[in-house]
Amino acid sequence: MDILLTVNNKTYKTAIEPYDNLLTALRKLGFKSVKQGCDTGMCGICTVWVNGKPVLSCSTLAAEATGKQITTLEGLPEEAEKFGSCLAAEGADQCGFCSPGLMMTVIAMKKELVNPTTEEIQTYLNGNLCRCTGYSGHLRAVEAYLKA
Amino acid sequence: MWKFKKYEAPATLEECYQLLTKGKRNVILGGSTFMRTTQMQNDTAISLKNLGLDRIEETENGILIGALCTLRQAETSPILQQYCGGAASAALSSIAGVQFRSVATMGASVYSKYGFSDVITPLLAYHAKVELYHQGIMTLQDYLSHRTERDILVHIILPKQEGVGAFQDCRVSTCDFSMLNVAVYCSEDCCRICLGARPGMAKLAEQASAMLTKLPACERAAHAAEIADLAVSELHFESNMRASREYREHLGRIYVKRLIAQCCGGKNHD
Repeated sequence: MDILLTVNNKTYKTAIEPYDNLLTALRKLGFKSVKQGCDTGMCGICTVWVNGKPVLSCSTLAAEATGKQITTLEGLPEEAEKFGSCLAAEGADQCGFCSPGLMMTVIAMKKELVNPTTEEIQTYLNGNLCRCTGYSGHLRAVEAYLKA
Repeated sequence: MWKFKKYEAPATLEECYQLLTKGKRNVILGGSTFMRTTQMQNDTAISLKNLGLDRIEETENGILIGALCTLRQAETSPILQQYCGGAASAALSSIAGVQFRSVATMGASVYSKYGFSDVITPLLAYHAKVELYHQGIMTLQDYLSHRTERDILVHIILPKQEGVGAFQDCRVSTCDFSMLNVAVYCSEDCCRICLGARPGMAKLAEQASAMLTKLPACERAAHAAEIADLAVSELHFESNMRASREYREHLGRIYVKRLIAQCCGGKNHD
C-alpha cells in the first residue's frame, strides 16, 4: 500500500506492507538516525517524535502515522549538536548506537519538564537502555545540557 | 512476526464493527505494542484513528476515557491526576518508558484482559465501566469475568465519586512486567481491594472489600492487617519466572495493609 508520511516538515510518498512499522518506513526513506534495537518496544533506541511526543517507532505502525507530524534526529540538528557535545564532554558516548534514541527523548524531556530533578530525569529516561556507559555519564551530560 | 493482509481506517464505529465481524481473523488495532511481539497472522487490521477516541472528557456522570487514549495521555491528564487520589494515573507512570506509554492505549490494555496489566487493577478498584459498541455499557468486573463476544471497546467510564485510591506495584527491574500490583479504593460507604499480576488477571477481593466497607471509617486502618490476610487468602496466586506464589502472597499482605493505611489515614510500620 502507498502512504504519505510527513517527516521533518516534508511529505514523502512511500510504498509499505500494511504491517510495516514506522521504523522500517523511516529507514527506507533514508532517515538512518532511527535505529533498530530490541524490536520489542523495550530499549528506546528507535525513538522518534509523533506530533511532538516521543514514541517507539518499532511499535508504531507506519500506516497509523499518516497525517501526523513525525520528527527524527535529522530534523533537530541544532539540539542534536548541543546535546551531542555534552555527551562527548562527559565521556557518555561509547559505541553510540543508543545515542539518537536517547537524544530524541532528552530533547522531548527538555520541552516537557521544567527544571527536572535528578530523579525526574532518571524516571523520564528509564525507557532508554544503554549497554556501554552505566548511565552515570548520560546523567551528567543531560544535566549539563539542561543547564546550557 | 505479526502480519496482516490489509489495513483499514473506517470513518464510523459501525463500519469498524462490520469489518470486525466479517472475518474471524480481522482485528481492531490498539497501540499494537503487544501484538507486535506475537506471531499472529490476521486478515484485516482495523484502525480506530479516525473516530476521535483519543480524548479524556469529564461529563456529568463521570470521566470518559477514549479507547485510543495513550497511557501517557492518561498519566499526564489533570482530570485523572485529580481523580480520587490520582491512583489511576500513578499506576501508569511505572509502565516501561515514556515512549512506550505514548504508543500503548488504554482501550487495548483493558480490552485484552492481560494478566500482567497495571492498567486494569486501579480501574477495577475505582469501579470503572466499559462501553462496548455492540454490547453496551457493563462494569469492568463483569467484562473481565465473562467471556464476551468480539466487540469494540469505545470508552472506559470512571464514575463520579469522592473516595481516595492508592496503588502499588513491584517489579524485578524498571521496565519489566509487575510481579504483583495492588489497588485500594476507600470512600465512606464503599471499599474495594484489587490484586493483579498474581500472575492472573486482576480480581476484586470481594470478602475483604466487604469487611473493610462494613467498618466505620475511623477503624479501618486498625484492622488493615486482618483484612490484608483475608484478601490474600480469598484470591489465587501462582508462581512464574518473575516471582513465586509465596512471595506474591507475602507482598500482597504488605501492600494491601499499606494501601489501606494510606487511604484511611493510619500508620503503617512495614
